[in-house]
Amino acid sequence: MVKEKSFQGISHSYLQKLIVRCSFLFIAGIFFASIIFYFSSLQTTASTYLESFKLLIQLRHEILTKSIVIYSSATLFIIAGISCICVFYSHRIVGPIYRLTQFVKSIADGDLSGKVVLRGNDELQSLAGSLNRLVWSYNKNVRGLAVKCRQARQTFSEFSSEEQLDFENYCSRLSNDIKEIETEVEKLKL
Amino acid sequence: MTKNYKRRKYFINKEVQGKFIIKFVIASILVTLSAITLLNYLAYRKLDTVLFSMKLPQHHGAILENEMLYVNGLAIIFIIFAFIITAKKIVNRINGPVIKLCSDIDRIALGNLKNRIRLREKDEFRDFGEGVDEMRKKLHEKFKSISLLSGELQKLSGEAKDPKGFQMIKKQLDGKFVELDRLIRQFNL
Repeated sequence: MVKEKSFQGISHSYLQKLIVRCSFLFIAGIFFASIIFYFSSLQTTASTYLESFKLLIQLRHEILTKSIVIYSSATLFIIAGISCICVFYSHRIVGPIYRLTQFVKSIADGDLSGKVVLRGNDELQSLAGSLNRLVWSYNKNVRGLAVKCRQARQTFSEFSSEEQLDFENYCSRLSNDIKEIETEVEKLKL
Repeated sequence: MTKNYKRRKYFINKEVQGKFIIKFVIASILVTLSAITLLNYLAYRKLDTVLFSMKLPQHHGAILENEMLYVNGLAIIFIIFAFIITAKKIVNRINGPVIKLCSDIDRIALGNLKNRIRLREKDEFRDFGEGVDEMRKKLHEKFKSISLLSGELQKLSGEAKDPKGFQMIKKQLDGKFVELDRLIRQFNL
């Protein structure tokens, strides 16, 4: 059995990558929105005071609509991108949980032969490790029980009414074998 | 314990994944809305100052360049903080039940099938926790039956004082052994 005793939750690198990718996407979105906003609010040169005044008034009127339209469009792209990133990242947690749920169901049905294997970049490897240790441990227990049971049955089948002299010896052997089955079960806290 | 294979479905748990996405989307929307509001406030202030000044600039160029840079800088700083807080909150909400489940499963692995596994009402992956508890219950039932049967075998074998008496209980003992064997064979090893 491989003992894995590490951090049992979600790794720090997962958290860092998630934050960095979302932030990068947001910065890129804001950057493009700014460029568009910059060029849309760029004024031409005015030769007279009145012309200059008119241009500034026009800019004042348009600024709210322009900023809302440009930044909202950028936000939509940012939201779409962030949603995709979140789907991929949440899948690295939810996917293993789905797989582990199936594995737990198979253990409940008595299948102690399997081993759960997660993808390389999946989170919750520690949970999978714990379940594998559990299966390994119960597999060992049941194998032990099967051996003891077979042994007791073997002793039981040796009985013959003619062996009257050895009967005491036979009984103590059978009793010991059955006791060993009990000892094997008593290893578990039931 | 790692493997490279592709999953076809990316939306497995809509509730958990939905919450995950919504938190990040809300953070982005809030910061963008604040950025738009601040940008407009600063732009109006700048334009009003310019308009009411005695001398208008001949060359306007990018009149709102500084305001834009200021707002963008603030928006980036705020969004990084918002993402850090959101991601940490999500991860903490997941880590709590995962760490608890890990220790519960380790306890079961050591042979303790007595204690129930319970996650809190608001914890993530309650279904998985219930699945693990169901597994514990079924294993408990199976081993309990084996334990009872071995107890009965022990009792029966102790009853025989001589070969004649043993001959009488032989059939019962055989039945118990067959039953025990059947219970052990329920497990796929």
